[in-house]
Amino acid sequence: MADLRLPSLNFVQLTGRLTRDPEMRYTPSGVAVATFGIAVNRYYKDSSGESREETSFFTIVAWQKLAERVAELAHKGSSVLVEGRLHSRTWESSDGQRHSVIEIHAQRLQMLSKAEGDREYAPPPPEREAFDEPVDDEMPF
Amino acid sequence: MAEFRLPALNRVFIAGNLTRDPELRYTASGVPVANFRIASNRWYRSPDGERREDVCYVNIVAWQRLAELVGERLRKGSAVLIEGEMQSRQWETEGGARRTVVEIRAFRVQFLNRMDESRTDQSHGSEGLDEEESIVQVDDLVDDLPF
Repeated sequence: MADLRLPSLNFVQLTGRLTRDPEMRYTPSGVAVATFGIAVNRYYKDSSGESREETSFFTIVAWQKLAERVAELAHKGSSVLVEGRLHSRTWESSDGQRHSVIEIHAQRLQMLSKAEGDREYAPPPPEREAFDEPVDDEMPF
Repeated sequence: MAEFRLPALNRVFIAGNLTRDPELRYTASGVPVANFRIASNRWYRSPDGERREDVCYVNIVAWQRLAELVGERLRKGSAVLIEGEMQSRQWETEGGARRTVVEIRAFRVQFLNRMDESRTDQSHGSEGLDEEESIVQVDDLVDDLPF
């Protein structure tokens, strides 16, 4: 019998539009973190065959170089392709209630909106338009 | 002028274990829907070289035939590979506060446990199923109901 371990698999891929400008922060150790929301549309037909649209909202978190690039290039309304990992965390509200939040930690971002006329933007050659976040984690053994 | 439309891309792959037994319900029109929560583990090395573990807890929603099979075969601790789409739902607490829930709508579930020897009930796990039967998917996404 094959003796396998459960794979560590967690991968998300989404396209959507920013619901607000990215917010840039720095951790106490100086690491850049950019957070933004995206709206993702889903098109489907309901049980009576009618076309429907449904929007979901997600929070994206980008780190370091990726954070700096997205803060520079993206703004509310920008279209983006996000590849990353689901990350959950809990927080406590002032009334002592625990809440669970799921965010997507970006490993790769592609800016899909071409620049507006009033922004300085030299389109990079296509192979540089996707910036990759260095993957720091290793296989466990 | 836009040359392309934004591709509608939404896909998630996640493997993990159920944190509790799935809940199987039926909507008013009799459609089965199952909800379950999984814990997906990740190991990595921190900058100072230490091995760390990070767990992601996420809710999974399955519909129709997939929901029924989930209800039959999965229990707390079961290992699964989920393939689906990310979705968010908004709801209001009793106090009127708006909350958002992010979850996965599964269209494909692979049951990863082989026979669990501690169980006498053979309906758990996927022992006796060939590889193809251990994967369950919803083929027709067009019939997907919104909730």
